[in-house]
Amino acid sequence: MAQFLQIVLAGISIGAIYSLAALGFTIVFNATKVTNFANGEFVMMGGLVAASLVSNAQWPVPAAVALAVVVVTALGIALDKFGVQQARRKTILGYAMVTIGASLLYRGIMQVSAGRDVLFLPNFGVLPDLRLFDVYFTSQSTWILLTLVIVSGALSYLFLRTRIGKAMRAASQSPRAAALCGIEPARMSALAFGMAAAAGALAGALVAPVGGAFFEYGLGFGLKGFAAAVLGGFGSPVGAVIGGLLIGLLESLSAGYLSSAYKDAVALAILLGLLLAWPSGLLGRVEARRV
Amino acid sequence: MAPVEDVRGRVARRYWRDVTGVACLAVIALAIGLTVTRSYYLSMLVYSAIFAIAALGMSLLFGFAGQISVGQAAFFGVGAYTSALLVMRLGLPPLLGMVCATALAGVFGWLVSRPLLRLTTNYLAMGTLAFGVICFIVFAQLRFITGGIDPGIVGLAPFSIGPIVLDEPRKMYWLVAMVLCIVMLLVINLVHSRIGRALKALKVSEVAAAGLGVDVVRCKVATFTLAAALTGLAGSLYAHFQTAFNATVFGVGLSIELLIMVVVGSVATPWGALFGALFVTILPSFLDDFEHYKLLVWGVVMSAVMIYMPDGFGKGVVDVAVSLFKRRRLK
Repeated sequence: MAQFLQIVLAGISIGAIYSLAALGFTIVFNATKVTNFANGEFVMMGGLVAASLVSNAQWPVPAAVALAVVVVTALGIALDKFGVQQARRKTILGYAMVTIGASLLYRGIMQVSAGRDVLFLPNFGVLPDLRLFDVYFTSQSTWILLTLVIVSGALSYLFLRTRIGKAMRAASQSPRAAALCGIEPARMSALAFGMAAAAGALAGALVAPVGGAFFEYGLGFGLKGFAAAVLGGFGSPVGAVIGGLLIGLLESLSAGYLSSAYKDAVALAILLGLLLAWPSGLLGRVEARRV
Repeated sequence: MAPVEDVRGRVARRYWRDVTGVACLAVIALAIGLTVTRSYYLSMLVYSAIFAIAALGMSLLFGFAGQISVGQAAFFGVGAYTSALLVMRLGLPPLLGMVCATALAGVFGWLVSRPLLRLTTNYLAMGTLAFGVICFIVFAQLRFITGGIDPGIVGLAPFSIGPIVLDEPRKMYWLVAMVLCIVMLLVINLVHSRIGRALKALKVSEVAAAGLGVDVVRCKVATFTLAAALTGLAGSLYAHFQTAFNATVFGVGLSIELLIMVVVGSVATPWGALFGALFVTILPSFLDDFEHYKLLVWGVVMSAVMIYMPDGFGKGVVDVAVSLFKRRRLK
């Protein structure tokens, strides 16, 4: 029983990371209707920048994490301003290709600057390791879950209660009408990318002590984050959180009880299954167009 | 309004221009084969030709039908492993192995295409990406079949047709050059046929094309199957040329490189795939320590091209040249 609970806890912890990645997809899609293929790279860069600041420049962990979030947010806004906004071909395919190119670019930048080693952040500390009924709640997993709760709460407050959140929702529902009300779609778009990048970077920094940071990890985070977003219902922030936790749980259960070699394939198989059979997901409002 | 004969004439001229192009390609390939002796250069050309065959499939799928697939490496792997296993474990002649590999990759593509091609752009890209990664994981994990990542397939005999063994780049070059010319002719014929025009129509608007009587699903499935088969053929040739390889070849990087080949060349014509394959294969040899900067270079190239020249770098350059030429003629 304790082993089962431990596996469940591990699954929820990594699931929280996937939830943050999924929120990145959802926020950007809601604001711009663009699927940002570089979202996984935001997560990767958050972890890798923080880890290399700590390992190579001996920065203290909180400062390294903070700077990593700032840098990745800037890169996210840059992707919007210089990539998506500048695209000559303003079609879905065009934007998809631009973000695919950007994911390669960010991966390459990280490979050249942070190197080809898997780097680990030290545990964040401060919070204690807990032990309840033979189940270990490590300090880092508490940090992860706490961050998810805070970020989700902050985002809900932002979107439901603040003016800028309502402006973003208005811009996503109808860009033209929002523009008539004085809301700049370009600014909302940059804001969305920035928020997605910040959330992703936090996630990357949180998982770096546990899973390490490596320039090739972005693909995995991106695909699993996308799978989480689709599972929860693409376009729904609540769905993104639930989807992430579910994907993490399913991945952990299958690794623990079935086979750990195919662990990464589980989330991908779920993604394919969803796309083919159930694209609207749990809480989806967005229906995939069928041809 | 141009008279109908004029339009037909233009279309026919374009076709014969492309066929002449294939003839020129054959002549150039012949000339290169007879004059170039450095084994290194010939190796580069062999790899370029192999990837060009796969890129031609990608060009049909992405350039003409507009279906983005970031998982083609899976079919490259199917072709390579099928050829390797049929020759090594069952002792089949390599030519038969190559045919089987192409066919198997095509069948696999056909099986996967019907469900996948129901997805639209973003979901299709993610779906094919996921499919490619799953296949890579399977290749890496099924060690008893594929040898996985360590040791992989080792000691595959080089390609041989009857008594002729193609164990040097010089000899393999003739085979791949011939196969490339044949495939190019096939693709040109397809592009200029009713199916090719149907593909161009459905790329622009599937609904409109359906309204014109195009069987959209069958066209997309057929294109995907053909692309998979061509990629499998390339994989088979690759396996015999390399004689030893492991699963790391068939990862996302290869799928992305195939996409880059089509994008860098020109999305609109098969010749772009040829140019792109040459570019992507040969560029690494000009930069020292390319492996280290590979992702960065591809990232810059892909981002720049997709932002500023979405129809392909080759086409962008041609457009600029044509507009300069037109301006001078007006003067």
